[in-house]
Amino acid sequence: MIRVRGLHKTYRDETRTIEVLSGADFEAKAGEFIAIRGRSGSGKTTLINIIGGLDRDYVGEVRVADKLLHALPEADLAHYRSATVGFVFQSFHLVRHLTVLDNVSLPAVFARGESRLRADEIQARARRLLAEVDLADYAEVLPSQLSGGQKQRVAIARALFNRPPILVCDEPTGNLDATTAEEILELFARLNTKLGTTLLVVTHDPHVARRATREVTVLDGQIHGGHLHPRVPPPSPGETPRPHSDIAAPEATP
Amino acid sequence: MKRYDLRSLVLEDLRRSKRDFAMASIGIIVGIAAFVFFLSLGLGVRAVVLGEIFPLDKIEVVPKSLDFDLGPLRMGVGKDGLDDDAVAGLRDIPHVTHAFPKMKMTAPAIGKGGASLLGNDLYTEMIADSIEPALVEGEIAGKIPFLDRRDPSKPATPCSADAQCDEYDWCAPRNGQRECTPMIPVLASPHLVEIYNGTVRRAHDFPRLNPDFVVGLTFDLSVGSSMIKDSARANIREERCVLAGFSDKAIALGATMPISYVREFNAEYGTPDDARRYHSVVLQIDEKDNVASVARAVQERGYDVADPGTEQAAMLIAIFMAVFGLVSVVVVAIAAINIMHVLLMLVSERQREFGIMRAVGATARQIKLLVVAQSLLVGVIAAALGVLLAIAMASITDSVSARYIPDFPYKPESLFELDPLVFAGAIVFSCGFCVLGALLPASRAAKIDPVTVLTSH
Ligand SMILES: Nc1ncnc2c1ncn2[C@@H]1O[C@H](COP(=O)(O)OP(=O)(O)OP(=O)(O)O)[C@@H](O)[C@H]1O
Ligand SMILES: [Mg+2]
Repeated sequence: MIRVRGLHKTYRDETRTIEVLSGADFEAKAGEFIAIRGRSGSGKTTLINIIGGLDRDYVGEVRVADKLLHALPEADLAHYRSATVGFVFQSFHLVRHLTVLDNVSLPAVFARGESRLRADEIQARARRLLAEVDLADYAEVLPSQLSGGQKQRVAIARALFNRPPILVCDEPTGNLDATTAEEILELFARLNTKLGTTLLVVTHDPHVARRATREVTVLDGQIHGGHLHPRVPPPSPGETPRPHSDIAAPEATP
Repeated sequence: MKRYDLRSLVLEDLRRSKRDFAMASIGIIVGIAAFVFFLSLGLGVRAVVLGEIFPLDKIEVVPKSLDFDLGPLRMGVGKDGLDDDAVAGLRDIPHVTHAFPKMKMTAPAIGKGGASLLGNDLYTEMIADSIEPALVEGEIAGKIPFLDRRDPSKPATPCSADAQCDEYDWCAPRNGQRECTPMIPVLASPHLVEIYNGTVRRAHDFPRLNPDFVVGLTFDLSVGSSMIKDSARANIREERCVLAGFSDKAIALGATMPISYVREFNAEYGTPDDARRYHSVVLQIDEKDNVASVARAVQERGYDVADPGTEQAAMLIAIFMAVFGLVSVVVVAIAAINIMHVLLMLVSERQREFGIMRAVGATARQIKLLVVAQSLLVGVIAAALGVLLAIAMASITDSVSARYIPDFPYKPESLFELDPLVFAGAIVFSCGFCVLGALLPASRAAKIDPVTVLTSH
């Protein structure tokens, strides 16, 4: 699913040059739930920004779902971000002036060509996703009226809108209290087991790491445990990725 | 959002920042309103000036003359006449559909009339020219025939009062007795009515003339007499004229008769040449666009084209339109710069938002489009409001002009020519500026790096 080879990433500004990743390797199979750990400043965010197709400024080979990311033209990379990965951020990043429903539907606005859906389909799908994250009653509410945990659930629903096989999350529970964080983790686990969504979760939280199927550490420009671990049992037949539906609910709800 | 596409996002954004855009688009509304208002005014005035005052599809050919200014006198030197051969030659010029020779009356004459209309008779030194009746055939609506003098060999009927004569004949003093004589049918220019109704009437508090109503009016003509003593002749001929109708082929100030009458008067009171030479020939040209080539051909044949001031008038109007057009363009351009500032501000305020959009799959192009479309929409709405404002201002101007501005010659019902093409042009022009103003903010928005704006440090 994901294969990173010899990844170099350097930040430059006027005063200094930092090589954050120096020839890092990383692999992930479909359906894995990987916790990415490491000290602050080690390059975790840098890594998942690259895998998520947000950052194109690097050296090395990044192949995700059979796409060589650095070779993709800008528009195709945008499509990759919309169709293949979903992004969840520590600070939620909801659009302030759009309702919860519109925030969840935002990926549909930019869909082009065949992937465009009809407005009623978009609404229906967004509502289903909101129901999945227990926010059915908040569709018409503005993000400012939500708690942190609710905001993050909206962000997750948005990230899942186009049913991406991969979800990348940068400290998704970093701004949440322990119980709320636990709820989010439940959601992740459900996604992972029921839909086979591949999860890359950057975290400082040992709870998250415990839920994960594998843990990698970014340290000194390398990714430790980045190669597939022989310890990890291959996914059982019941857990192999299936065609996606909205989390677990069948299409024809309510 | 209603449709979940870029359009609905644009509308959403516009709704959100309507106050910012409202301020910035006032300039566009005003600029476009001014643009449409003055352009429509220019077109309206031009239609009156070039359509009615100086028709563009006719030129008047006059003999070439070299003018020498000698103090207060102007002396014309050169050929001073156009004869029948010359007229035939002019008629042969390509694109000339008709040639109307005109002969001026060179004999002095005093006109007297108007009592029935104005209360007492007016006397005026008479200016008259003449055309061949065939040239207005079918054009004069009234029932009074505009025809050459009746066969003189027909015996005259003696009379003592007008009532004894046929319609349009009068009991004229002839050779020491009185006999029934046909009145001279005359044509007047519609300009004359305009000028009368616009100015003369007001100065003297006379009634307004309805052109249809005055047809059939008569006035007396004393050919050979003049208010200028030296010009008066010994033999005076009394004639009576009847207004047969209006035609733009008639002389602007004066009366136009069938040519045979003027030939007769000119022969009697002037030289034989006066009865043969035309003073000018009006050429009717098939299309406006061919006027220049016909004028050139006329000059090649050794004649001049009388300049009725068309070119100066057209030039003045063009300058008027250009000046006000330019002012409006500047106003709109400044407004577009305002819009650009608003957009730049919004783009920098919404960096994070654009970053989020990129993260969920927006391409740089879509972001650019989002910004340009917002500006375009502002441009369309503002321009449409501007056009409406202009139409409102035009109709207010027209009603003020109708109510408070006294009639002046050629005062049209509307000073404006409201052309949908001008409206469309104004909207396109406003959109063009708005798109231009959006280019820089749009490319800034497209260049926003989602990593930078989304990754918190
Ligand atoms: N845009 C940037 N310009 C310059 N340096 C940067 C930039 N982004 C990150 N860095 C530097 O790169 C290094 C890695 O940053 P990154 O955000 O990937 O770390 P991280 O592992 O996610 O840290 P944290 O746990 O604090 O989020 C840090 O030293 C950071 O200062
Ligand atoms: Mg980080």
